[in-house]
Amino acid sequence: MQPSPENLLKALYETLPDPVLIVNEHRIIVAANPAAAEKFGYSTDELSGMEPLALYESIEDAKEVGAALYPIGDDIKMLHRRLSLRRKDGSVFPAELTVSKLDSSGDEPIGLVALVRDLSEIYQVQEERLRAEAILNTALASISEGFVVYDDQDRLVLCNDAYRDIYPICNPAMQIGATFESIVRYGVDRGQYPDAGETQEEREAWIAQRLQRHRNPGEPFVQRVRPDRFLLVEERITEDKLHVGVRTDVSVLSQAKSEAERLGLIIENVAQEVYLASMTREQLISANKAARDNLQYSMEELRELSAADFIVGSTEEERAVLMAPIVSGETKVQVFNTVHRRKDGSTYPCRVRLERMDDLHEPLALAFVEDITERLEIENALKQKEHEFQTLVRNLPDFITRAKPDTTLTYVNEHYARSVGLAPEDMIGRKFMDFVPETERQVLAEHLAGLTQEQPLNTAEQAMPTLSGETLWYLWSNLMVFENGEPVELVSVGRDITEVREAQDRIARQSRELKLRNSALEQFSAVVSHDLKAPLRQIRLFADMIAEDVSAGKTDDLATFSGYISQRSEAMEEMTSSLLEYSQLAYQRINPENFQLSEALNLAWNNLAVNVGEAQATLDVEGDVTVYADFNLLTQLFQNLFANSLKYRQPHSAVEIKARARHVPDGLKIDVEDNGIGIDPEQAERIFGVFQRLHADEKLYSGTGIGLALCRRIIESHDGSIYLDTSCQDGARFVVMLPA
Amino acid sequence: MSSEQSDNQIRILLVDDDPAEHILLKRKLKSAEDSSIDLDYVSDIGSAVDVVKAGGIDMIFLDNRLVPNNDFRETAPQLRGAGFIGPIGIISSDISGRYFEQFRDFGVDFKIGKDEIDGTVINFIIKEYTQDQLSETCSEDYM
Repeated sequence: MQPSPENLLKALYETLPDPVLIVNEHRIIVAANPAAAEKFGYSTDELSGMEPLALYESIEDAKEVGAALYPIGDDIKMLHRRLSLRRKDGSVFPAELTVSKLDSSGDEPIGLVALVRDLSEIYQVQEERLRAEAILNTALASISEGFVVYDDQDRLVLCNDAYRDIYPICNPAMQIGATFESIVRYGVDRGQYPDAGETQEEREAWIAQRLQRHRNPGEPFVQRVRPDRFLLVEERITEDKLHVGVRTDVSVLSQAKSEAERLGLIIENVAQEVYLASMTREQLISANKAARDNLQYSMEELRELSAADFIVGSTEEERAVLMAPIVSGETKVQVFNTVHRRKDGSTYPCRVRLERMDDLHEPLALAFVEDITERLEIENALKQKEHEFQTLVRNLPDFITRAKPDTTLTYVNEHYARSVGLAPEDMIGRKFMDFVPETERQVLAEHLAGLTQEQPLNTAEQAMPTLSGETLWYLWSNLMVFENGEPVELVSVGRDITEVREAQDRIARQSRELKLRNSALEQFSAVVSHDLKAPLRQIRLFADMIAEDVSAGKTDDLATFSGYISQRSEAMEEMTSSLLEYSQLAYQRINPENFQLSEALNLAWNNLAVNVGEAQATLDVEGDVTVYADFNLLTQLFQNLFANSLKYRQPHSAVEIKARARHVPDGLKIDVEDNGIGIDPEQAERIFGVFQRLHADEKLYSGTGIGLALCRRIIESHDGSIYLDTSCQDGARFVVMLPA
Repeated sequence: MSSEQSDNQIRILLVDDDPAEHILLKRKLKSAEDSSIDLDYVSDIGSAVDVVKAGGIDMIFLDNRLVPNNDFRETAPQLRGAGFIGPIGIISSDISGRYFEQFRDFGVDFKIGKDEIDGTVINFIIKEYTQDQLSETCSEDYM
């Protein structure tokens, strides 16, 4: 039986998976298929008679659809709209609503047919696709490698941000759909590829090669996109003809490779010989140019040689012993000296630093060999210099020490050690201060503390007792060596300046003597000018007065005046004689000799025999000693002292003179004491001046006042002294000191 | 000590350990025909101090070197110490010594070589130091 169209429609209506609702012109559902009942959750009976309004999720959608469809007229053909519908249970689902007019047989619209298509699954699929896309994009964005896909027409489908970053110059041309060639050309024209060449031809050739590689991808290759940026380009074509490319930044690897090449070049050209040998095969693997040149072998020849062929500084057994720790892995590095023999048979000494390298597929030995011919020559020269220096230091009369800043000795020369009475090695490690006299330590400590980086050197004189008890003077120069602002070493040199100091003392003494002599000369000239001019003037004046009186016929005072003239003339004669005596004795050179003191005393006493007899004087000598002095001068000295005692005696009393000699720590002390009138202690120093007399009365105590001045000059010329002992109460006591 | 004095006359004390100098000075004063000067004489500084303390001395001629003293630097202060406020002049055969430059520091008013002393000089000194104490300028202030 042939189904009728009505039956077919009914069957379609009944079996259609999409809901179908028939709504009349009064907006009442009049029919609904089973799919509608199932979708909306109502029974078909419940749907029939419902207003469609209840099926809309939003009242706005319902009003809009209603407004579009009602009243039902001819102007409405079909309404197609996506909106949300509500089920009986209140749940909502997206749907596509298609509404058509339902015409009667007379073409009069009698209602509407609404076909509802549930879009939930479609939306779900879309969401899943979008989520997958988002995940893909996130994944692509998160990888550091550049990722790109071109379709079978070589048009850009997608690329991640890393890809765009890798080709920043090409980036503007990377539009979806742009061809690979257009993007490459864009980059070549703007300098994206440093290796693309300079000329148009070179660039075209480069582009052609690039396109060729792109279309026929093979092994990954390195591409330079900036002077210092290198990419590893990997491309392949998928089964669906997509061109997938990955770009990996290999700049660091490229740099490392170039550095390794550079290092290799450096090693090849370094002046030091470098060898690489297999420890298992005992064969040279490589040797740099310095090694080849010095040994005069090619690399190929070297590889054929055994160690014994060019290492002649040791026997095979010795080498085995030497190498054993390295071979066994007991030690990683071995340093030794040996001798290499060149191809021409000549040899050279060398120092080898052998290092075992285990991190490779086989243990290798890397040897750095230094030709030490020059070094040995320099070392020998240095040793010679050191020897000469040591000899110099040993023979220098100076003391030389090196010490830590806290004065702990690290070096002492033999001369210094000998002066201390120790061996140099016994002094090392001890404090420099231990060998400084205790009285000098504080001064030296302050002296050393004063050494600064700005003033690292200073000098100080120091008295040092010798082993024999003698005291010598040393000039110490102390130099503190600083490194990075910190004191690291104290270098001290001590020079014996005893003789210099003695010379200085001598000069100082001579200067003092010279000053005294100058003073004496000044005094001498002053005295001469006064004491000689005075009588002369008086003589002249008295002569004038005599002349005046004679002219005037007066004779009363003539005798007095002429008496004064005679007196003054005699005084001048005495002074002249005294001055002559003084000048002869005071500045003459002394001729010292050893003699018995009693000889000089007796001679002096005998020279005054007349005066001695007149004064009934006696001399008592105590302590006859040997004297080293000028005999004549010392005799004159005692003669003057005796004369002084005889002159200034107590009236009506016999003169008693005692001379007493004895050795004292400072030398020889001789007292000459009398029982005369004595000397005022206030005049104790003045009496030794030229023409200094304490008594104006010439009748009682005549003389020129030069005797004691002469005594002082004589004793000072012997480096001695003479003074009046002011403690003497009865008479005068002169003390004569002669140096030991 | 010798003394030749009368009222209203100038009394000069000569201190010199050489008596001949007294004779010589007396003669020079006599030559100056100035009878208004009385010359006293002592030979040592101790006596001079005694005379000064006794009073009446208008001026002192002090020998530079008085035994046992070295020079005026030791003697002149003794006279000042005795209360003498009149002029003190140092006389010497030789006044070339450098120490003479310090004479004012030791209470001395003038120094003069013995050779230079004559009647004219003595009159001038007397006028300068005893009769006309104020300078012209100062005198005007009192007019």
